[in-house]
Amino acid sequence: MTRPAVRHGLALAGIVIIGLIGYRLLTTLEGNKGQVCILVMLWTISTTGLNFVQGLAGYPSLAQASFYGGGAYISSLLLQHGHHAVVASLLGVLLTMVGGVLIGLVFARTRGQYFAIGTLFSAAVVTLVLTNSKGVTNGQQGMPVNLAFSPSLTLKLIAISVSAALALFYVIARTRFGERLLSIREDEDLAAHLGVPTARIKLMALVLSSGFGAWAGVLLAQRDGIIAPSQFTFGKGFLMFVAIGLGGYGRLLAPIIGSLLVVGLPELLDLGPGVTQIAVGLLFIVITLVVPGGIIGGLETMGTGLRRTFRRRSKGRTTSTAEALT
Amino acid sequence: MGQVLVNGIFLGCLFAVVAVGLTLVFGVMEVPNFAHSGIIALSAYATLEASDRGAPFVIAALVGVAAGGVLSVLTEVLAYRWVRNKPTAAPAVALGLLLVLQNSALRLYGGEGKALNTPYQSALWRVGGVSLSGVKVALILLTVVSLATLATVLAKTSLGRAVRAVAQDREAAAMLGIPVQRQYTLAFLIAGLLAGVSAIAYAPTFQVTPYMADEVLLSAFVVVVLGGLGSVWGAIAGGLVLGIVESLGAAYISSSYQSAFGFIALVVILVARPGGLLAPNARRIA
Repeated sequence: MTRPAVRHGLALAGIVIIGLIGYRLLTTLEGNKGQVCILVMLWTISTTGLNFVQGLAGYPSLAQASFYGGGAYISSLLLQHGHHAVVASLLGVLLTMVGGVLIGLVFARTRGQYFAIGTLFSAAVVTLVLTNSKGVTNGQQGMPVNLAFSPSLTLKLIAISVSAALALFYVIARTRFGERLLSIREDEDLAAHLGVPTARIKLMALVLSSGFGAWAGVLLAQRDGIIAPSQFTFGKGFLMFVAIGLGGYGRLLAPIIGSLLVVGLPELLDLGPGVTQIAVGLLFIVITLVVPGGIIGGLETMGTGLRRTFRRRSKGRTTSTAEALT
Repeated sequence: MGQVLVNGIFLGCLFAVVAVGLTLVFGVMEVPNFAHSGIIALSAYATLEASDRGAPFVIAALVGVAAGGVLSVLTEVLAYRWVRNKPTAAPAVALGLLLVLQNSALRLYGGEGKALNTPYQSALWRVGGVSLSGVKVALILLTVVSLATLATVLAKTSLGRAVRAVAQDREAAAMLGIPVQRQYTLAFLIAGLLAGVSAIAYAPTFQVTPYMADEVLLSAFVVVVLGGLGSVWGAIAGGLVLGIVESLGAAYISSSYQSAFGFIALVVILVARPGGLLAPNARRIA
């Protein structure tokens, strides 16, 4: 794997295979397991967007679930008013991104903790609006959705979107924009001094993440046929944040690992109310304290460590003492 | 109008007690303590548990306050202490702790709301056109007493001076021989005790559930930004301002959007001053 072209080709092939495996699981799993599989895949799409802000730029955005809800509600409301499926879904994503621009304009200039508080509060207001505007959204009970896509098409779209989202992340993370996001995570002051327009870059990342979240929301609404505010509370936004942290900030596969742990685990292991959440919380704290790179980062470190010891053994004792001396 | 103001002061006192705990922890350690609402909920359950077992209300209340203090110190010792040099990891740890605390409450006591009975809940006074319930009076009294005690401790004792020194400049305080680690624990202890006080003060008006303090916590964070992260007097003034703003909004515009008015206040502040109002150490927040 020396040539970059080969490496990128392999990575993209892997991403396509992930989509195919996902589609296979979607079509074969039934009942509760099928439902969990769909949720995990939708969360993967949504948290891949979050991975730009939180993963690459290191900014705690706690509003991702609101973008997810924005896509679901706006597209469903447009369908209800008789718009075409394609128009409704595209506008659902676009209007949510406009919401992302608004939140970004206010909070992208703020630093660290203020950003966390600001996005958290935005999410709380979105939940409040969804719950209280009963005339439009039918409040807490949730609203029925006109199904515009056939069930089999929705499943295909979900699988394709997982691959597309991961591929987009892979490509964008390697552009200049992706590198600028990383520079903000490493040292925001230094990045600003070197001419990186940090506020604008953070705004763009937030808007990008809102687009991913909204599209996942559109698909969720089409799949379930009913949506309720409880699916998009700021608590869910917390959990999306936790998912990326567990998987590993900025790692390509972090959304999959994180969604499996946060959504998949509690549904599959039925240990009674709250127990799996406690476990996820404890795991999250331990990972944050011990392996800041998340599960994938930890595995990478273990991998390089193993490789090094293996190489050292094959080279013999003299080199290892030489290494120890230097 | 008088009634709206009284309601605003009531809310404001509640926000102030919660926000002082948050701002103290933030000032000393730069942690946005989202787990605070979990501690409030568990303190309320501790009070409930004690009074269910037949303890008189005063003892049960003390049990709740003590539980808040112990839990808060535990979060510092077991988790926050280990990220104090990594400010970016702090929100993550706080959220993890919130998950653990709230779901422990859910596991132990279930999700349905429970009522906390107090001896003063049926008291009601009328002064002019304004009605004052016992719960409100108790909350305002508890706030005044606990915050006055805190202000005296911070201003007059050497312990308080050390806490303030660490909040102003951690490195310089350490160089001057102040045991910084002890101040962290102390800040969390005070925050936890205040969490216990707020739990007892407002549990009678709301029901006790694992998520009872979530909305209050959000408003309290606005107060913290309003008053300047790390400033105790700012938190008290900010709490009263926000309480009155929210209750005016609730009375004259729409009561179901009460906490959204706090959000508007937050947006206005952060658009004008991205570093927060009065932030004494905004430059250190990265």
